Amino acid sequence: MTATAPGGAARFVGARVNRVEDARLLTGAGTFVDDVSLPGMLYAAFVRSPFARAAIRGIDTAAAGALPGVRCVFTATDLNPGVREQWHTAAGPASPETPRPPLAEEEARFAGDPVALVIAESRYVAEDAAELVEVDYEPLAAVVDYTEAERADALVHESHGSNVVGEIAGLPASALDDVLASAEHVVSETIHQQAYAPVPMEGRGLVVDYSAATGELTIYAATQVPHEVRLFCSRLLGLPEQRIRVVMRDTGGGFGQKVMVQRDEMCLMLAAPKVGAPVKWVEDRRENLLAAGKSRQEHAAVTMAFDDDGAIQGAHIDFVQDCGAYPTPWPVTTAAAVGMLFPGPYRVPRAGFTVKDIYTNTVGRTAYRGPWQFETLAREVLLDISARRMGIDPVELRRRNLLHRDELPYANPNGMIYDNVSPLETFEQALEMLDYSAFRSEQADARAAGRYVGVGVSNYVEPSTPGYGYYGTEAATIRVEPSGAVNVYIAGGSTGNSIETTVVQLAADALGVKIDDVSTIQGDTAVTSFGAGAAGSRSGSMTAGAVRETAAVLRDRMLAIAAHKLEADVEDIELLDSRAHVRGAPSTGVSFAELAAVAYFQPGSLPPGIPAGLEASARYTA
Amino acid sequence: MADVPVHVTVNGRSRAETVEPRVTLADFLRDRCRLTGTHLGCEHGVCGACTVLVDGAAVRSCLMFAVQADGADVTTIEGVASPDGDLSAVQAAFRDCHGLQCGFCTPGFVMSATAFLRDHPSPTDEEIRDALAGTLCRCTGYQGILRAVRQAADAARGGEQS
Repeated sequence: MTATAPGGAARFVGARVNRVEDARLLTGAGTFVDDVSLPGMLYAAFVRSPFARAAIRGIDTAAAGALPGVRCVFTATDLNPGVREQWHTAAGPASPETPRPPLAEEEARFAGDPVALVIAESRYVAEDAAELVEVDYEPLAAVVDYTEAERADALVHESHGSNVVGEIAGLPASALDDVLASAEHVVSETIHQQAYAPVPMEGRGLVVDYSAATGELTIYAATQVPHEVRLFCSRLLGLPEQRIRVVMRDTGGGFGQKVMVQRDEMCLMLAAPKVGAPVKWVEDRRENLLAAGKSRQEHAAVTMAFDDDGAIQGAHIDFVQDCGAYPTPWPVTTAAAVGMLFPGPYRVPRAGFTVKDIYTNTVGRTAYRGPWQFETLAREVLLDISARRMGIDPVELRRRNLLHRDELPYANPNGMIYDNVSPLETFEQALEMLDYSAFRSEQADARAAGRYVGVGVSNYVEPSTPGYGYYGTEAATIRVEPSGAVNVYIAGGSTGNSIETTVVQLAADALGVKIDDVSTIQGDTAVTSFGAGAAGSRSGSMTAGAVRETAAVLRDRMLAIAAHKLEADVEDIELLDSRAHVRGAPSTGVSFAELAAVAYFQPGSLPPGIPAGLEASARYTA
Repeated sequence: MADVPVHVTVNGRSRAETVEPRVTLADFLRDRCRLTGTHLGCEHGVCGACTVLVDGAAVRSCLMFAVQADGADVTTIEGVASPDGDLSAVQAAFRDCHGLQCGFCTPGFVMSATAFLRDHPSPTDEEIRDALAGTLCRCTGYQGILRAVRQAADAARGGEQS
């Protein structure tokens, strides 16, 4: 998409420009959360359960508390009663979430479960003291294999009454009985995917600074969503939102793991007001791997039916996913997407699905890069197996079944609508770029020479930039400053996504300003409008909409001021290279600095109806 | 254990400090010297983000105690660009070749590549891969990183192509 406002030429969007982030990141001048250091700052370390499941019979913090340099040792009794409300905006207050005690109460539910929190004058001392906390664990039978969890005697969450987090179904497999009975070929398989750990190079971390005198809380965070950290914290502590400021400058990767506040981060938010000094927690790699979340431990029984030409007659998936002990957020809606998307960009006349999420005594499920990606894996592996069984080339099988543009919009039977895409045309283009037939003959030659080389194809269409609810809007504020320089304020959340550079490119095009005249400020809730951050491949496209909406307001205003000053028609004015001129006469005209001078310093010279200043805020709705 | 005096030169400036023997060089540089460009990604010598030069050698500063650097000359990422901010050839090549995204691992790559190119001014692509094998990037940017080191090598040899 182009974000260029009407009349603005796309000069920088799509062009190769130096990233604005790079100067600081290449020289060690970035600011990641662990680089933040505040006067009097203390350091946090967690005591974590070594058992997958254990009753906590008692915690003795005396030795830890007595260690010189230790300020506080908190257990669940100290922190958990401070929770006022605990829900993520994307999920909403009514979502049937897993109860999430910040620190484990009577029971530790996975190896890595936070049990106590030590605050000390250095991280070294905090870690020393964490080792001195004596926890009286009584190990219990643990549910570690999600495929056995439904039959297990032990319950991960006793109060939930079962190890099934939840399930959703479309049509059951039996609804396809007639299709399967009459189809020429029916292929069934069970497909497994192993657990992934998101592993950003920088782990999670927070610096929380509470001022008792003012009731203000400042959080520096490694996050994909600074505004959600603020809103979540506001509800958690019962602090008014405007008293909380969240700042993120550089975040070293997120991949979904930093998209929602988890229990460890809640502990820091709850502890900071009790400590009387700023507190830093930066997890180490061990904690990141143990406790920050996992994804994609899942499998499904899948079936497809074909006629004798290889045309798909029906498809069904029974999907089961391991969600660990504390999935964040409630995972069942994401699992449902696996079912809805399973038919994929293919012509599938009949389909059905069931999805089931399972609790185990393992680390909780979090979002990770395309959280419903299993739909692609399962379908495409099944198509390859089917092609082999039917003796059809896997490319040919897909070619016969892929949707082409003329058939759209197409609603698959599981409830997903495909439109404004070109699956078959894109596939053919990719095959041409690869020169698939040439590769096949090279492969045959190689095979004859005893060398095995392979080729595989996979098609998928998944939704990005969700246009609903919390994710459905994004704002920008743009200031053409009195000097004519431009600042663009965006909610932010970049974890390496180059959103600063993108915004500068977009604004330069939309306003007709030199790219070096544009800066952007992101990630500070004190000066930016609410936004839902970097998630669901949304930040580039949503931000583009926000910049376009906002720039259009300022563009109209600058055109009006320039027309007035140049005694020309508004329609004849062009904005280019930080100047406004009459079309066809670029040497005449006025600079943005001159326009800004009128707007800010000569309000009496403004054309009728044009407000003073060159500042605007607007919100794009997807 | 009693604190120990440490005298090091960091980016050309002499520093005399007293530290606990167990303080890593990485923590010394980050916390004492306030040079936070040296990043800690794993703290056990796997990811390479904390690489600095100790007497010219590329070293993982998470695996070395500050006291072991006593008397040494240390260069961190903050000491690579010229004082007026001009990027080194390696840094400029990373920018040109899209060799970074989030930037967390970048200081380690720049330090490793800087030491490597000093010792191997005409590397093969295979040697570049080998040299960077101990440094991890998670934004999946290795192709850009390898191109950057290739470009920096070629630029240092006056644009002559290998």
